[in-house]
Amino acid sequence: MRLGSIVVVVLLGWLSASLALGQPETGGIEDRNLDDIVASGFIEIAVYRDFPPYSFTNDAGEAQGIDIEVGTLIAEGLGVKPVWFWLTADEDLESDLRNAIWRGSVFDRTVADVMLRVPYDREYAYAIDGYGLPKHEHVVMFGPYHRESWSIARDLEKTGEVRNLAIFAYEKVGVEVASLPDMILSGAYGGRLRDNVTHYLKIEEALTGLRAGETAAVVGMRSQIEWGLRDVPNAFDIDTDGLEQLAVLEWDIGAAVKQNHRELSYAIGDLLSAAVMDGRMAAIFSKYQTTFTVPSTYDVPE
Amino acid sequence: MRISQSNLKNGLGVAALSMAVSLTSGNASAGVTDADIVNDQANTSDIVHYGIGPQGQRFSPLNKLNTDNVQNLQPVWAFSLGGEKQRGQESQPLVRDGVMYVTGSYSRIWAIDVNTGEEIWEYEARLPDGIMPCCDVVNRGAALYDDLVIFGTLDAKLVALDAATGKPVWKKTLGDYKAGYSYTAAPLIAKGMVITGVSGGEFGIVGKVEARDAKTGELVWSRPTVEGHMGYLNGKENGITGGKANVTWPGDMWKHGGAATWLGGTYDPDVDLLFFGTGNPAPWNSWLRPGDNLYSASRVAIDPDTGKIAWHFQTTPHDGWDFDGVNEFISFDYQENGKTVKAGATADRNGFFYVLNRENGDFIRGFPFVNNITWAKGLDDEGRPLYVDDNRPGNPAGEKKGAQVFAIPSFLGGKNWMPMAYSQDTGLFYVPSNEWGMDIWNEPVSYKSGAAYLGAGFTIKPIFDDHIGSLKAVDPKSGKIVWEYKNPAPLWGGVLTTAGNLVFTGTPEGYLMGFDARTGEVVYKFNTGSGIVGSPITWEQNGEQFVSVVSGWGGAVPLWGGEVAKTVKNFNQGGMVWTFKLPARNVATR
Repeated sequence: MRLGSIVVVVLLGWLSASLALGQPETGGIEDRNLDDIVASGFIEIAVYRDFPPYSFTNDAGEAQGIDIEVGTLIAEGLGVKPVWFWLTADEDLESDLRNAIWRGSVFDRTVADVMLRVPYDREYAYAIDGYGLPKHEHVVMFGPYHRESWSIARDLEKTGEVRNLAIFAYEKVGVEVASLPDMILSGAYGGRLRDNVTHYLKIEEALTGLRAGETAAVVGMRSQIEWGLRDVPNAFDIDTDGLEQLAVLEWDIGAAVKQNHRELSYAIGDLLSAAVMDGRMAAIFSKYQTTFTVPSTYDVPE
Repeated sequence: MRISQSNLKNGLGVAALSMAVSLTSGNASAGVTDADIVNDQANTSDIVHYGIGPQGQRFSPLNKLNTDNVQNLQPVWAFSLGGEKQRGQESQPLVRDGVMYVTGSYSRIWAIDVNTGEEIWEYEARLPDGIMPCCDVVNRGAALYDDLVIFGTLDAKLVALDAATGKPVWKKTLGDYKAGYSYTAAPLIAKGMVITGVSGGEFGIVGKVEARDAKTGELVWSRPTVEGHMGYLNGKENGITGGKANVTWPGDMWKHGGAATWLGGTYDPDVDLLFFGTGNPAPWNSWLRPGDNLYSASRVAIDPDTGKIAWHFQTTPHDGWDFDGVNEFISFDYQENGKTVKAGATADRNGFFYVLNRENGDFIRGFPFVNNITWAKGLDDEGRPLYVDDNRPGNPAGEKKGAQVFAIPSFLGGKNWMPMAYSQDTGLFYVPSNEWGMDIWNEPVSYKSGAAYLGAGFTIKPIFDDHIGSLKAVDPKSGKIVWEYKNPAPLWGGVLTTAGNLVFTGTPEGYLMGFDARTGEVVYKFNTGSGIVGSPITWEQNGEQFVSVVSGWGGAVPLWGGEVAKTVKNFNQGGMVWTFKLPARNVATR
């Protein structure tokens, strides 16, 4: 008994020492339930790496962004410290959930306690694969805290009064390579816009191109467009006109944990919904000069 | 206190290392020369190049070990690739002056005493945090030149180590890992240069071939494999690949066109050309990029002196099935009507086997090497596929859900990366192939990095009840399949053939298999304890013939679920170099 408590004290001491250094040792701490998290004093939160305005590091190396604030809100609500699990995006969400939540990447096999910026979509969550088996049975997706959408930023001097996509048969439009807007614009009107679809590796580069006059418009996620143009708030026209052809124009964003930690999902879900309801979520978005849209599952006035 | 302790440990390590080195290399080992590399196949006392020579025939003229005595082949040592990183050992070992150099997954390499199986040194590349390489964690082998061992790492670096000590001599960047570049192939050596391709994910990368001075790592030339990109020679512009942009690609799609050269290449000193395969074009939805999309899914022949493309042959123009046609091109000569034909052969992901004139790329003949191909009716007189239009996956842009098609072969290919072998004795190619197809459709709901997306869904399915893997002896002159060995699990390892009338390959079930090269009869079988996805070698020392193969299950197959996974789900991971020999007393006269 005595020996047991000594071991616990030593272990906690070691953990807080590593936290103090800012580089917590997380290897080997796997599959933690709510009690484990509270007892340890920290929660490990997966956020995408280099993904402004959601999660990124500033020049001083500090974690910044909407999801960093959301994660901090969760950690504070649980009475623990947040530890960031920087996730390099893989080729799709299914891979990201595997790498961040239930199996770990092939490199270190470590996982986070919770992942943010996970689209909340029942059709996706309950999808079956080509063999008739559930595709995402290893995770539970919950807690919608935002509604993201595709938007278009237009340079009205170039696009004039034309509010649909046909203008891009004559003017260039920037997209992030392999994004949904890339696919739709490259295929629209029998490919007639294809020669004017200008590809950039990142949406930030597309917005730089727009400001430099390389293109007449950029199509991307609303939060990213607003963030990327925040210092020129009236220079470009931002809305969704003409994007009706996109198969999915808006979608909810929530969180995910491993499927055997539903108690954790309930605790985090309650914290997120409270923040949506009491205005703290909207405050986070306004801090980053982006529009907060209430998730579709909420019945509250915006 | 801690510091002095670790110094002490390092000091002891260095002392032990230098003892080991002096014990194994009593006679100062001479540096590997270009002549050694060109003669790699003929000189049976060592293996200094991937492919057993830069032509990549994987043929050994040794015949001490043969179909009469192969049952006496015995393991002499095994070496663990240790640690927690066991997955996916796709390497081919090299042997020089009594030392074996073998790479392992996760960018590791070892020097091993071939007499005892004891470690001389280990080098483990320090990989950056958060790395997410596109293409698994494997490494397929190293290159030797002068006193250097050169290999590539998952963060797309090329590292040259001192062969005696394992200490880095130079290190160069092949691509930005943050932009999706990686490296898994064995580097090629030609004319004093180390020549590499590059691996990359589906999004935003452009394939290239680069030549560097093998002694210093300094870049000599660079040749992008997508039309429209500028090549360089000695720091100066050296012509745009394909002459100009936008010829076979719409808009600016050539800027991110794919065509990764991830399997590396071969070199034939006879015609003095490099041969590299190129991967699939991007984006995956072929309907968005009408045109041939050069030089994706092609074999390109490059002049090693200038870095210019001498000829190309595209196996899957306007690919829509992810037929990532990087497959190796193996030079061989054959006689026809009293004349020598300088040919080369390649067995493509798309299920067709091609014989080309390796001097100019002209199509000689092509034929299927897997059964029931659905996407093309055959090849025309120039080797271009006769497409089955209904079998092209549908266009998701603007539709909720495109039609589902069942295509054979699957995107993992009639043959994937695993190298085939060519026997100068039998005149046959030994092709490790797989018989499988795929359902492919447009996913109506999909997400990528927090954003809605239109992806493709696929399901790989076997075609036959009893096997997926199929080792085939292919006659490149007639197109006939001379024999076939059927394996339950998909084959994923390289092949070796010898003048002892033998063919060796490994299976995911864990067996090193030996076959009669003429009949396909199984003449040897040894269980290595984990699946084999590496490539075997053979050499002779002290009058005895040795065989080595790396065992360690992994690679792409276990990453895909469903019916194919059923055949592999119980295979255990591992990481072991197995070395065998035919003891001198067992050499029978034939």
